[in-house]
Amino acid sequence: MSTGVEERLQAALGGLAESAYQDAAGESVAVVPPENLREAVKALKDSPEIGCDYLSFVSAQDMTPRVPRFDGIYQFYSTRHHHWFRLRVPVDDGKALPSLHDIHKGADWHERETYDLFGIPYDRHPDLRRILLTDNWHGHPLRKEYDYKLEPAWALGTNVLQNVAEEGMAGHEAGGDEPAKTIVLNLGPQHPATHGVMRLAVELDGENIVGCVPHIGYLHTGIEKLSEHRNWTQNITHYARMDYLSPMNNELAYCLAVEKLLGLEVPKRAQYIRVMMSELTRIISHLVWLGTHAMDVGALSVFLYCFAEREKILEMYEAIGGQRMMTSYIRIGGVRDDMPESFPAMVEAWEKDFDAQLSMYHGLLTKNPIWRQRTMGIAAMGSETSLSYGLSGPLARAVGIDWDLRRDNPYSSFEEFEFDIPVEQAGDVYARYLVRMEEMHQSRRIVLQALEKIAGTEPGTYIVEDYKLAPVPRDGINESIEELIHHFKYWTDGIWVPRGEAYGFIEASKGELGYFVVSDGTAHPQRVKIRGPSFSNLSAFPEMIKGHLIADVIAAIGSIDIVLGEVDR
Amino acid sequence: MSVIEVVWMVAKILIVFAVLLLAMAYLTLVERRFVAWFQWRVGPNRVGPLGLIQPIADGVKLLFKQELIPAKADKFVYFLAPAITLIAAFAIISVIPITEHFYIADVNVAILLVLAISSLGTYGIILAGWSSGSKYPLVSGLRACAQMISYELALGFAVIGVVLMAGTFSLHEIVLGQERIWYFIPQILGFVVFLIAGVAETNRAPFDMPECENELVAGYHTEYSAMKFAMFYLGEYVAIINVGMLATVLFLGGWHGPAIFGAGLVGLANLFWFLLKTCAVIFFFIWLRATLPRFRYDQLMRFGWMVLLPLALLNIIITAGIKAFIQ
Repeated sequence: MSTGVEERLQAALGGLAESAYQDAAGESVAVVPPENLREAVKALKDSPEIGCDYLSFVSAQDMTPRVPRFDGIYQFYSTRHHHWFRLRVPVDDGKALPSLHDIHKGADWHERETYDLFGIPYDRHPDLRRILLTDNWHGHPLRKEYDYKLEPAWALGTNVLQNVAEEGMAGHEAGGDEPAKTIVLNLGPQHPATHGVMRLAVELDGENIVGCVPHIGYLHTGIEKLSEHRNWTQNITHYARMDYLSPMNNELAYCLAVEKLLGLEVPKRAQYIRVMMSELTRIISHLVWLGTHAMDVGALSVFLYCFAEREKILEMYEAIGGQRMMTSYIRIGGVRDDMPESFPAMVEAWEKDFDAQLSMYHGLLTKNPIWRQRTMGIAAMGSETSLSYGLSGPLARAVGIDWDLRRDNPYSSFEEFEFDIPVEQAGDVYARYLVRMEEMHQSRRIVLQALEKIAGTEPGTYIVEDYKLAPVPRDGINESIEELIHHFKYWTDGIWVPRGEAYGFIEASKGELGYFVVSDGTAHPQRVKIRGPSFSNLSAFPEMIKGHLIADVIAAIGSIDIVLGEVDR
Repeated sequence: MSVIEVVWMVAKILIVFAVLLLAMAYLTLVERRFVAWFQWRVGPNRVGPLGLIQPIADGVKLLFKQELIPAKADKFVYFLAPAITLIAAFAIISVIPITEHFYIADVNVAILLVLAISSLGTYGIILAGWSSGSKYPLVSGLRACAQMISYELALGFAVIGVVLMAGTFSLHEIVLGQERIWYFIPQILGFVVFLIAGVAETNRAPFDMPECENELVAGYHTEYSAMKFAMFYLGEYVAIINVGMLATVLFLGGWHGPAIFGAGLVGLANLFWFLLKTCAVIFFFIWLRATLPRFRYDQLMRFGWMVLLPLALLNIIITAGIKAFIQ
C-alpha cells in the first residue's frame, strides 16, 4: 500500500473525520461520525487522489462494552490508484446509519445483511428486509449477547412460506375486475438452473421479464458467527466449505489476513505452493462454471468434458492435501505439508492435455452461432454501474475495468510471476465467457512458473518455523520437552493473535474475496467478516436482466458464476 | 376385401405396432448409450447384458409409479392430452411404405395426412400445458404452440418440392419415383429444411424449447407422473422414428438399395435399407442433441420465419421452374 495515503485521506475528508490513521497491519482507517458518513463517502469517491470508486463491503462490529456499541465498517478500494480504505462509523444500539445505496448501489444488499445480522437500521434504505435469515427470525445473531439456546430461532406458527408469492408485484393478486397482465414465476429454490438453492421471483409479461427479486439465504450456515467460537486454525475448515468450488482460495485469503495481523513472513516455498494451488483452484472453479453455464444454455456435453478435466486437478488436490475438496491445506504461516515428490509429474501430465481441452471447448462454443446468439448482448452492464454494484473479478474485467488484485496489489509473491490479464469491453455474457476462458489459459502459465520456482527452493520449508504458530514436526516431540510443550499448546489452545484488525484479500476465481478479521488478543477472532464476491455480483442481477427473456435469466445466472455457499455463508 | 386380406391387414397393423413400440423403447436406450458415448460416460449398462433390459425396467417402473394430479388441473383435458400425443404419433406409421410390398395403407394423399396428423399431435402438448394448472407448463404450452405453427409451415413447404418432383401425394409412389435418383440430391435444400424443421417438430435439442429443463423444469410434462408421463415420452420417441422414416421415404430413396442378400431375398434387403436409413437419421438427431446449445425462443422463431421458410419457398420455386421449363 502506498505511503502518504493517510495524509491524502485526511485531506480529502477534511473535518469530516474524527481521525485517520494507519493501523498496525499497515491499513488506512478513518473514523467518521454517522452524520458525516454520506459526505465522507462522496468526498472519497469524488476526490481525484483517493478515487474510492469501489465499495468492497459494508459490515459492522459489536464493540461491547464500549459505548457507542457498534462500529459500522466500510471497506473501499480505488480501481485507479489500487489502494484500500476503511471507514469506521461508531453508532449506538438502536440508532440508524445513513444508507449509501444511492452512492454505491452495491451497498443495498450489504446494508440489508448488516441489518439482518446486527440489527443496525439504515436510514432511507429502499428495502430494508432481512436477507440471509427468514423474516420471522428472532434477534440478530452477530450481536455478542445472542444466545441461540435460549429461544427457538423462529417464531413457530407463522407462515414460513409467506414470501413465496411476491407482494407488490402486479401479477400476484389477480383479484378484482382487472385481469392480471403479468404472472409471477417462482424460479427456485429447487430449480435446475439456479446453481444451488436460490429463489428468483420473476415477473413475466409473456416471456419478457418485467421485474425480478432474488431471494438468498437458503444456504446460510452462520460461518461468521461460528468463526468467533473456534480458534484461529480451526476456522480454516469452515472456509473451505464456503465457496466449495474453490476451497483453497478461501483458505488462502483468510490465512493472508491472519498473517497480516501476526506480521508473518511466509517462506518462499510455501508462497509458491500457494500460488500454484490457488491457480489450479481458479481452473477447477472456472471448469465448473463453464460446464454448468454451457449446460444451462443447452450444450450438455461440455458439462461432462469439464467435469472430467476437473477430476484430474481434484486428484492433485488429493495428492497434496489428502482431500479432493475440503483440504484445509493452506495454514497460517504456510501450508500443511510439503509438496509430494510425485506432484510435478502429475501437473505436467495434466498441462500437456489441457490446452487441447481448452481448444475443444472453444471449438464447441466460441464460434458456435447458437452460443453466440445466446450470449452476445445478454445481461450487458456498463462499467459505471458495474463498479457501483461492486462487481469484481471476471465480471468487472468483462466491462473493461482493467483490475486484477494479483497484479495491482500482489500477495503471496504474485509480483514475480508473468501473466496477462484478459479484459473485454462488451460486458455481456459472451465477454465474461471470453475473459474466463483466457484466465484458465493464463492460470496454466502461472502454475508452470510456480512449479519451476518451487524447484528452486529448499524442500521442507513449507511453513514458518515458529512453533507458537505452526505445529511441531512429529520427530521433534520425542526429543525435547519444549517442543512437547509447544505441541501441546498448539493443539489444545491454538495460536494467539495480537490485538488488531486486518483485511486479507485475494483475486479469487469469482472476484475479490476478502476476510476482515479482528482480534482482541486471544485464541479466537473477535469478528470475521467474509466478503464473498458472489454476494455483490449477484446483487446486480435484477439490473442485468431487466427487459430480457426467461432464457436469458438462465444464461445470466451462469455467467455470474455464483456459489450459493459463498453468497449465504 | 376377402377375409384373408382383412386378417393380413390386422396382422400387419399388429406387427408394425408391436415393432414400433419395441423400437421406441429401445430407442431410449440407444439414445442414452450414444449420448453417454459422446460425453465420455458409460451410460446405463447394469440391467441385463449391455443394459438391454433397461427399457423394460423403466417401463415397469413407470407403470407402477404413483399418479399425482395437481389440484388445479382441468381433469378431462389433463387426461386427454397424453392420449392425443400418443395416438397422433402412432397414426402416422399407417401410411408409411416400409418396403415395396409391406405397408399398411397406400393413401393417395398420404403426405397431407401425415402433416395433418402431426399437427394434431401438437394439441397434446398445448393442452397438457394448459390443463396442468401450473406456470411452467403454461409457458411451455405457449412456446410449443408458436414453435409448431412456424415449423410445420417450413416442413410442409420442404415436402412440396418432393411432391413436385414425384408428381404425386402418395408416399408409395414417391419412393417408386426414386428408383434412379434419391430426391435428396436434387432436393438438397428441401432436405436440409426438412431435417431442421423435423428436429423442431419433435421438440428435440437444439429446439427443445417447450421442455428445456434448465428454464422450464420439464416443460409441459412437469406435472405429469407415472404412465401419463411415459405416454408423452413414448409419443416423443415415436415422433422421432416417424421423422426418420419420413426423411427416408421422401428424400433417401425409401427401401431402394443394392440387393445385398441375393436376388431371392429382395424384400429383406429392402427392409434392411429402409431401417438403416431411418437409423442414420435418428443417429443424426442424437448427435445434434449431444453437440449443440439450445436456441432461445425468439431466436428460434426468427430462424423459422426468416431463414427456413424463405429457403423452403426458394426450393419450391426452383423445383417448379425446372419442372416447367425442362420438361
